[in-house]
Amino acid sequence: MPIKIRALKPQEKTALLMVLPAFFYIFVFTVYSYSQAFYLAFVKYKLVEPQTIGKFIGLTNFIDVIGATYFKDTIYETFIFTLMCTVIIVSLGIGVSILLNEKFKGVGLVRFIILIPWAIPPTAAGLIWRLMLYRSGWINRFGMMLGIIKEPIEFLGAGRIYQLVYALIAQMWQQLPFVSILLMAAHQLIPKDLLDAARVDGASWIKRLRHVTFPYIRNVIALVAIWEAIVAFTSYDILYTFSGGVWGIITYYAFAEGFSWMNLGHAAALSVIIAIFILIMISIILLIIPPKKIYEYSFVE
Amino acid sequence: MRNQKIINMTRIVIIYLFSAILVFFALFPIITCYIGSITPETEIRSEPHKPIWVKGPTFYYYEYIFGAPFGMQFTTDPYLRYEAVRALVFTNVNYTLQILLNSFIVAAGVAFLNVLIGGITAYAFTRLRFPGSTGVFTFILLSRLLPPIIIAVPYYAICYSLGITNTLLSLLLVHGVITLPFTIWYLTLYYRTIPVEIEESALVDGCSYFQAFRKVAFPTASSGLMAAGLFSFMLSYNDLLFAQFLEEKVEVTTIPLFIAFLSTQTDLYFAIMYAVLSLTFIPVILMLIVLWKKLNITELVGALKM
Repeated sequence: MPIKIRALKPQEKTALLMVLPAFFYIFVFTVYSYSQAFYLAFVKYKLVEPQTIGKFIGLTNFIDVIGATYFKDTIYETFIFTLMCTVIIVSLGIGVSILLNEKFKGVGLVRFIILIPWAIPPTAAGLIWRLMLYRSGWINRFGMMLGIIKEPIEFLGAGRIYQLVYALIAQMWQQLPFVSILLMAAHQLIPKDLLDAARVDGASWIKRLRHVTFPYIRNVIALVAIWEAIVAFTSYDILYTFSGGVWGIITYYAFAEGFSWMNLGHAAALSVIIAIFILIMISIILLIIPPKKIYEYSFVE
Repeated sequence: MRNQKIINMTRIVIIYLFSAILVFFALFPIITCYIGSITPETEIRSEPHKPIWVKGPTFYYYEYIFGAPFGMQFTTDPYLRYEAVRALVFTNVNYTLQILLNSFIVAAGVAFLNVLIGGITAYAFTRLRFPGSTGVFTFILLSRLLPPIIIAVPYYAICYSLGITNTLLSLLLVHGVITLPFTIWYLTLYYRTIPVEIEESALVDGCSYFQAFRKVAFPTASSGLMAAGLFSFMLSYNDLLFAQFLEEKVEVTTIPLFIAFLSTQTDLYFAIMYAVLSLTFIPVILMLIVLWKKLNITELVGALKM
């Protein structure tokens, strides 16, 4: 069947002229960058050995990074961190959204105040929480002042997994507002008369939550959870300042391989590994809302 | 009825209790930064059971940050005994105001770019029908989902070959790419809330589609455009990753990069860190106040309907 080519209507011409600049801008940077990253993953690209740059070496970069001493621990820690972040932040976010959907005096102010940490740079969030947890930091200081603890606790001297839990507090401090606000918006989707009907029929608070609220916001919770998983999986800034730039999860090593150890090939291989995990999560998002729907809901009344 | 009253009372007590915990959790770390920035270094470093502000708070660190660029002489910290090791931190702290300004320039540029390009693009998606709209829109939205670390290596190579590493321009361009998808999405939602009738009458009166956008829709949407601009301002202001590999010189450093620099010194200088952090918060909190008035939560709901 021949492809039908028809003249564009004036409306379509204008629309294309308006959309194309942004499209090309984003397209050039992302698609070119992604394909370059993919290409670099298969060639030798050590800045300290300029004569061998660009030599095709197949999967060697992948084999190297997977065999590297840090890789196994990092993957393990990354998954632990991602899992903890997602579960804790989303469940607390649900709680906060339920609380802040209640009507009480001063709710607007509370909503605004809890949003403040979200606006603060993640770098700052990581550093603040490290300074809080120091031996002479504010948690120890106030704890001893109030007599809760007798001896200062060495939070930052604990093992890596404990450190990740502390880093999680910083991540939570930064991300909880966003999650809560999105879930609060989701609560507005529930038809008011449905809740009223349930109340009149004598359903308890827990039952209303379980049978009326939850089914309506289930999809949003799933989306927010996946979004949080992506954010945690690629968390870089918070962990960087929290650890003082010495350790981190997988993104830290992708950056260190490239810009500290000058091996862009390895960095690209790690990026591809990260991208594969992220793509899996994105495809889950697309299963929950298909692309057609994303567009429709942003477009049609 | 008395029973009902007790239930109401407990409800209110529980709500306020949890709200208080939340507010404390959100604000306590920020308040400690302001306390720390006016505490002498020796007293921050003292054992936690010792009191602070024995001789009262000090504004030495703020004086240093604001005074040093203008030639005021500060060679020693009166509250410290060991000086030599801090030379590096001290020379870089001279640039704090410059660094704040750099962050502002980049973020304002990104905001402008977003409002201009995002405003135009989102309008086309909302009001005009054209072939391939679904595909392009989905592509733009999803391009944001892959993490920035993947762009890092190739983007460095591009900037290196163009010779624009160590300039604010390279940072501005890449921040534009990572903020635009969100702006476009937010503004498509926003344009939907504006009644279409005025533009239709403009079209009937003989405006072209672009004129209808420029003369009618763009001015009417100013509130949403401002929110989008502020939002992208904050995203740009907060970014560390791109600044970290693009900007090596202290003259073109941005705030998150400077915080990262301070935090990675082997010899930490607490009071200076607290002072820099405290200065960092001021613009974002001001932005947030404006944004909070512009951004209506219920507006976001449309996106979540499914």
